Amino acid sequence: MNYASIFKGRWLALFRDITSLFIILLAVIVSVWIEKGSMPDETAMFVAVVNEDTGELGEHLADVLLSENGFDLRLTDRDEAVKMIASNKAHGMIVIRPDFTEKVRAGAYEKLVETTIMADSYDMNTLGELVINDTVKIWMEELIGRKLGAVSGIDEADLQAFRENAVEVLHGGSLLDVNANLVADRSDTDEEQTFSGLRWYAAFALFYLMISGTWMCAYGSGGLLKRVRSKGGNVVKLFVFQSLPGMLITYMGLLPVLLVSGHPKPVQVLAAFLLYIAASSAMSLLVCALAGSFSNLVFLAPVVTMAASLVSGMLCKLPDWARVWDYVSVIFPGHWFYAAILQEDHVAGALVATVFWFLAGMSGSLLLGNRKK
Amino acid sequence: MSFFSLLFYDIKRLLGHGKTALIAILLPLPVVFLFAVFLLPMLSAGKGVVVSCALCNEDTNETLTKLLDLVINSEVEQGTAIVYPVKDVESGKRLVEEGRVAAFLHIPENTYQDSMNGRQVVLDYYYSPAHAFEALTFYTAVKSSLSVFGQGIRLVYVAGGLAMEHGLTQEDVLTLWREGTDDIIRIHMHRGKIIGSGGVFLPGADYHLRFAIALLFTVCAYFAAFPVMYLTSVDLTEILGKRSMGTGRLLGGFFARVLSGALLILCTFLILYPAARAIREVPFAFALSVLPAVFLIALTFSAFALFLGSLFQRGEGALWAGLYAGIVFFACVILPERIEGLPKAVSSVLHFSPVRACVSIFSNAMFKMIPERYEQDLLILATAFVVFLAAGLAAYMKRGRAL
Amino acid sequence: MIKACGLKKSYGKFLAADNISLTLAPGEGVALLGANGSGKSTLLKMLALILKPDAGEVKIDGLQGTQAKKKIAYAPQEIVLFEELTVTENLLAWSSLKGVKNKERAQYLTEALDMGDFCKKRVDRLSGGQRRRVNLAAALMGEYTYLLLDEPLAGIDEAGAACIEALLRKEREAGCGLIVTEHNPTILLPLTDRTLKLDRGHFIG
Repeated sequence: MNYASIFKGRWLALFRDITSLFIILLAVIVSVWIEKGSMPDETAMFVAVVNEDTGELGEHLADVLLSENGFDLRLTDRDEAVKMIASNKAHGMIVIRPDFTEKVRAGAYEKLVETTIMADSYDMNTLGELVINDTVKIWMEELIGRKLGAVSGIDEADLQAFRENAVEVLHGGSLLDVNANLVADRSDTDEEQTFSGLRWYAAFALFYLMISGTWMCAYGSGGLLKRVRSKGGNVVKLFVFQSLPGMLITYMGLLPVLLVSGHPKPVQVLAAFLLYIAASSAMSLLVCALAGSFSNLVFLAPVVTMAASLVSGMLCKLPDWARVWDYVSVIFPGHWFYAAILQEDHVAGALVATVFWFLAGMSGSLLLGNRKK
Repeated sequence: MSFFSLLFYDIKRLLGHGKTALIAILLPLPVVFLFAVFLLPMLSAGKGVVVSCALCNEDTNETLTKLLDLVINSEVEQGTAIVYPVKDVESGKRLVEEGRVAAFLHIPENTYQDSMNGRQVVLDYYYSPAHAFEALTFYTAVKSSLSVFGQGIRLVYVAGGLAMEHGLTQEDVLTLWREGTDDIIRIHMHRGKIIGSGGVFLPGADYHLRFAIALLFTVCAYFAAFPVMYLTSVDLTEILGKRSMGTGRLLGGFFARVLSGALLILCTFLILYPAARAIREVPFAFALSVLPAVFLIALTFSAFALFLGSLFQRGEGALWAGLYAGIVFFACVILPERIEGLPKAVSSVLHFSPVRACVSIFSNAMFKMIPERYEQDLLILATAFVVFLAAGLAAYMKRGRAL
Repeated sequence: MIKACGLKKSYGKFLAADNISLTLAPGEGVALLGANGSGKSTLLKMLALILKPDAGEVKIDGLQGTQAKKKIAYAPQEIVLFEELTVTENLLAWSSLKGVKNKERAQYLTEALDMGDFCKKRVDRLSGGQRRRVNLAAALMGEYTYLLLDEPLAGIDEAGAACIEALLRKEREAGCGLIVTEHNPTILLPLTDRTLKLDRGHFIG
């Protein structure tokens, strides 16, 4: 069997298959972007403020809200606010209820304000706290002011002085503050050193190897392997030479990502990635043989990629309570590539994982082929 | 009756086409499982961020201790926090380092006395990168509410000071002080009730969980349309294209495929809905009210799949097109349309994307129904359905007439 | 009458049909013979109006396009069936697509082609010969005046060939025109009135 021409044929076929090649191009672009960590500037989320209060405290709260940063808060009427929420222009609505002043003056605090928040963005998480805090400020100022006003001898000038002080206090610092302190755990590194771009590229590479591997679907059909063996060919060699072009392409795609990442040990990463894609190719063989056709592969490839990458900690760091997944993930090549990125021991584990998936892929496709006979 | 025969056979073909349809329907299961496993802390509370926090209170003041107990009990009851008391700072920091808690709050000695005396007090909050998400969300809530509480205490001071200047007795000032701080404590203990919720801290609610569930629904529904794309392309090229057929029943075949595709997509919702109930309590009434939207979503995705299938000669080509179209659609959802400098045309496309409307229906209407928003999303979907149906029909008949 | 004038078709540099003209009178039978690659299937596809010629035209009873297609029953060389459906379902599905649902016709064809034993099986589970018979039956569902069959006996055993021969004889007796291509003309030649030989895209002899 002419393995060199098999390699050449596969190489040409991969380059002609623009649709799958585009995946690796996209992977490189996205991974570089993730590695750079730069997010485009966003305009603030627009939130409508509706004042239905019949007293003057509602207006006071509206003024306080409108002076807040972080959100684009604008005063409008209810109908307009609802229209804007409906058309996705406003991401939330704050309604100061008609009995706001009445309730605050009575010292009540239940349901002073109505909030409607769309689950359009994680940014909306802080809106509730902002509304509550501003309302509490108005409430406190009013109630303490009224108690002060009840003291004999206190006149309007004193109350005005109190209000002016209140503005200063509420805009100024607090008596109680909380300092956040990051504690690095024993096995941890700073966020900057987790090299998200490299990890994501590795996940994309696995997806690419699967989705471009329709040629591997034939390994599970029985006919191909039978023909190869009948012609005196070596199935293992055939698989290696056929998968080399895909591996080379993903390997080349790693280079720009590695360059941008600034990893201190690029040679180690390059060597580890070689083992990673070898194991990933073998994993792809099993998946493709199971899928049997592209129409099934298009479902299996994203799910398997997501599962293998999540469990290996490639897409995001495993939460600490999920230690069991950390142990389970040792069979996945991503676990060892991640260890390599973090400059931990990985060679033995990666080699074992590669051998494991190679054996699994080969025996799986042979078994499937025999079953289909 | 011929159309119903076509529909019956088409359903049978779609569901019987190899493993493809079965995989499409069952695909949500591993995805939901993975989703559930990695978001377990949020799921166990069912409503939002849950943070496990160690607490070291070195202040022996009775009032403060009582206050802390009230706060802790309230938060534990709400399910937003799990609190572990520790003896000293080192123990607390160690728990954070070992990853056994997400955060550790240290209340130093004389916190209450100092703050009551008008001196600034700084509490220390420790967290690890592994739990940065929930720890920082909780920190933001704690910091802002404590800050406002502290401002309230200062207001009481200012009032007390003014009262003393007007000759109020020490005792009366103390009464004013006590009543003032009681008021402040009272409102802070029930901060959530201001907006009709509950609890002391509202660390972020769970909009991101709702958004993630909605995204999951939409992705699975979209993928369920892939067999429709593939089979349509294969039918037009390999099957209908190789027999001499008039265009008479092509129209019937087209609409039969739209309906059978929609049925396949609806099957994925049968699996997704119980999963959503398990992950996050979806009010049954809301789930029912979203049913019309579910049908419309299924029809829209089916029409889109038919459109793509009719455009491509090869089934694989149609699937690739579907994959890339999906990447674009979902990028439109994840990328905010508020990015500065975004061309207006792009912003409009993001705004009117049917996939975005679909995600909005599941993330908003299914949890908090705003009829106007729901109607708008339905309108976007209906428009998209009509557009895809018309485009799909044109492409399908063109390929059919060329046979 | 089927009237084909000056048909030309090439695939790249390969000329599959070179200025072919042909007529088939109603009720007439024609056998198209020729070696592999001589252009038989290409010609038949053009006559069946599923392949557009580079030059020339085909008219069926003076009609073209969709109206003309209604007069033809065409069985391709490849097996073109709905793999996920059973034999009976395939026949009924194809007849629905042609706008005619005829359970009796499906029953008749099932008996005539001796498919009773496997009519409830999915097509993707049938043997090659069985699928060939279903392929032919699917073409014969519906109404037609002319039968265009591309190697209907490929992979069929003797018993099956006999069934097919008997069926086609009945169709000829009912007045159907027939154009059939076949490598082995022995069985079907008696059903035809004349033979045309193709070589490299044009008639010889």
